[in-house]
Amino acid sequence: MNIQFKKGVLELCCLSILNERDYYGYELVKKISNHIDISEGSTYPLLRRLTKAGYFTTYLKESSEGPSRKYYTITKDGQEYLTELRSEWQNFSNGVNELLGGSRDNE
Amino acid sequence: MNKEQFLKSLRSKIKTLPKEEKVDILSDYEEHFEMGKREGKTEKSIVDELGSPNQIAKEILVAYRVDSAASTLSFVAVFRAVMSFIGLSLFNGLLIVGPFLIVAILIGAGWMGVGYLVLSPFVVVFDVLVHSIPFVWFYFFWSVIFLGIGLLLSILMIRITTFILRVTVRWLTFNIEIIQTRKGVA
Repeated sequence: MNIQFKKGVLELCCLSILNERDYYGYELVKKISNHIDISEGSTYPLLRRLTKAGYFTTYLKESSEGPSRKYYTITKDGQEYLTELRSEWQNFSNGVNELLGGSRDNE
Repeated sequence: MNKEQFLKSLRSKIKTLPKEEKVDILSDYEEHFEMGKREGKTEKSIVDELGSPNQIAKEILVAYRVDSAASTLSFVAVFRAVMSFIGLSLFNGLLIVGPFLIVAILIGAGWMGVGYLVLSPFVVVFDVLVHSIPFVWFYFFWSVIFLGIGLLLSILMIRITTFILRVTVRWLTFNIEIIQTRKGVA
């Protein structure tokens, strides 16, 4: 699969997932890798980069099951960026689907 | 590969990063291993799912370097960013970065030209003193003109250089990829 594809899509997925609620690193990574075939290790640098860009903030939360975990929250900028990416994706996938749906006889 | 080996490999590859960054990054992966073990996974299977620490380190370095380059816009920072980008993906890197290097050489030539112009009065004086060439006002007059032109051109060169650095950083940022490694390749 095209690399540029995956790059854009991964950002979109992270933003979208965190838009629903806050997640801690491991949860988020697992959720993504359950749906997309990707090396999980690459997700942390991506989250780092998006956090530095101001789309997420992080906080530590105590956990009953052990050490405290680092949670990610989406910011206002992040939500705006998500909206942008989402509409880009819609346009893109609609276009592709139309092309894929065409038959040889051009009905 | 077990957890210690993974972290050790990662740590050694990101050595050049500032301490806070390193600590932050490694703690993310430590936390990841903790969680995985709580789920009953073996270290080996966690490492398999994470992927190659070398590859991850490269991505981390590129992201950090491009980010530094974006904030400082110094030639050295941009150069480092470009180099780590090539390290990440040689083919893609050279393709993307080839034009940058060509432009960099041209800009280098531009600065050399500026240096040559600005130094011309000093060259005249040097020649007179060291080589005992007779002092000719005519030459000196023109060398001062060249100095002036050089100074004006240097302003232009600064503008051009800053512009090119900015464009390069934007281009690199746009191209930062998550390069998929097949699962199970450590």
